[in-house]
Amino acid sequence: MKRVSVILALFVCIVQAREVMNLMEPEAKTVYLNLGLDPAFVAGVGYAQSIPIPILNRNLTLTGEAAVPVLLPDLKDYQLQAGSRIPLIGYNNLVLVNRLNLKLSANQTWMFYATGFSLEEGILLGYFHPRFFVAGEFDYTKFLVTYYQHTEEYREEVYKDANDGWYGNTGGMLTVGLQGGFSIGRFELGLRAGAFKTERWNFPSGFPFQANLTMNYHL
Amino acid sequence: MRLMRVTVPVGFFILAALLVTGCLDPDEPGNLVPKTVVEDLSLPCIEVNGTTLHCETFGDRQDPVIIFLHGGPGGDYRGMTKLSALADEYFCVFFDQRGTGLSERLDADEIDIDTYVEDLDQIISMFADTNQVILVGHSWGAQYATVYISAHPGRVSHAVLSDPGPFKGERFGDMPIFTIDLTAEWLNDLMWMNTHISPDDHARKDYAMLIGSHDASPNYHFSETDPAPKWRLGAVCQAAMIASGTNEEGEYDWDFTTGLDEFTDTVLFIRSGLNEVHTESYFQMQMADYPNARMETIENVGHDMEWVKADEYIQAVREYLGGE
Repeated sequence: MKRVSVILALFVCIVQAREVMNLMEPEAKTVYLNLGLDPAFVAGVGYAQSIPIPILNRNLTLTGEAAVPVLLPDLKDYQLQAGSRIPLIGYNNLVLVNRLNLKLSANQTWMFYATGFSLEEGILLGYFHPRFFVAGEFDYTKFLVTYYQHTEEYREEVYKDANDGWYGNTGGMLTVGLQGGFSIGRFELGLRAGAFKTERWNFPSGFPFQANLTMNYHL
Repeated sequence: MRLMRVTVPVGFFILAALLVTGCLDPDEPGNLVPKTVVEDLSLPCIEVNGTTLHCETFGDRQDPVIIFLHGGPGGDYRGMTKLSALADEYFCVFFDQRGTGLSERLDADEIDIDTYVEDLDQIISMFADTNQVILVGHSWGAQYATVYISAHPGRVSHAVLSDPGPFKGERFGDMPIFTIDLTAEWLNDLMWMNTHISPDDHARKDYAMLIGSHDASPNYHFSETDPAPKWRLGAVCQAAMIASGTNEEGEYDWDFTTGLDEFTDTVLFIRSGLNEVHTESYFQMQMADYPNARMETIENVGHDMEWVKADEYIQAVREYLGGE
């Protein structure tokens, strides 16, 4: 299963990240560090690159991020994201942005080893100035497929006949939040805060809040 | 970019193939968690008060009846099954309470303390007719026994209460049950579960609830070498029962002691020696709610004493019941 995880990780470890402000800048390249509660206490590093799409008269931003929990460093829990972001419509500095991420998540607990794919679709509406931005966001993450391999401990202690394999439709999360940021020279600082619930409006496992601090550096 | 042009379509192809070819359903009982009595008709069960409960009995029905009440709320009786050794002298009844263990899953509005009391009353009538029974309750089960005795003191001859939860809600806040350690692995794992599964269905909720069952309460000192097994936890049940004992201000306002004055038989309290949640002074406070009570301590064991030190537990119960 670990080999499968690594191979699958290679498919998606190219891209996606947090909101970098270079929405309108063609061919901008950014590296960034992301710290926060999302959904556990995590640290992530990412890279973003804008690509002009002349036919749409838009810049498509491709991003990639790798994140791991940090308060208890455990490389068996991680998330890799690959995605894109594109402004849909805008009026002056008011812009509606679409964000799409494919995520690979791994989680090892006393009960199981899990490796899953999810798709995150997000909409941001905000004021994007070259020096700062403020935006509201609505986000839906759908868990597409997850491979669960149960531990011997789980089988002995709880359920010996637990089925290992690919599980479809293991749920989803809805997030609403606010984010903002400002830039000084090549550096940008972003803050993001939000709350999330499950797709059926139940509380998630653990804390139902997100908060991120993102530090970007334009290459 | 070139790599991406290849890998992203391949990744999506794999996902699409998995979705089309069929995956296991996390909500289908039997996949992540065991089936309940409603889905697996081979499991022993009883019909009580409009629901189906997982239930097993051991011993001769002519003997005095002991009814075992597991912890939680939202736990199950599997960790108490070694106590079925008492079946040589007593008729032993084990059941998973409403909405948990392998009993039928229900919506939250079908689960509250009053309904639990009614369930137990019907179970007692089912197995003991009009005779008195012995209640053996662990943790929440000891609270359950107490609220039942308060309501029906004449139906119970003896009670064994091990590491009882607080008989009054106001005591709950002072108990160091949960330790919020942000670096704890279980908490990390619990929150990271939100990257691949959401607790929306009974099966998924019960599955997620198990994550913290090992380490969330270190002050209980559960055995690491011989952990008590579980059938299946009941997440909706636990939330509903806690809500049932909580007022509109969010305060725990239950009081299970209002009718205890009428129960004058001696109650045996059993304390697990390593347990730092149920301290000796806490026991004294709880015992004072009963007109007559005595305490025994089983040393070198945590809150899972019915499993880890079953022999000593059984001996204490036999001496108590034989000596009365």
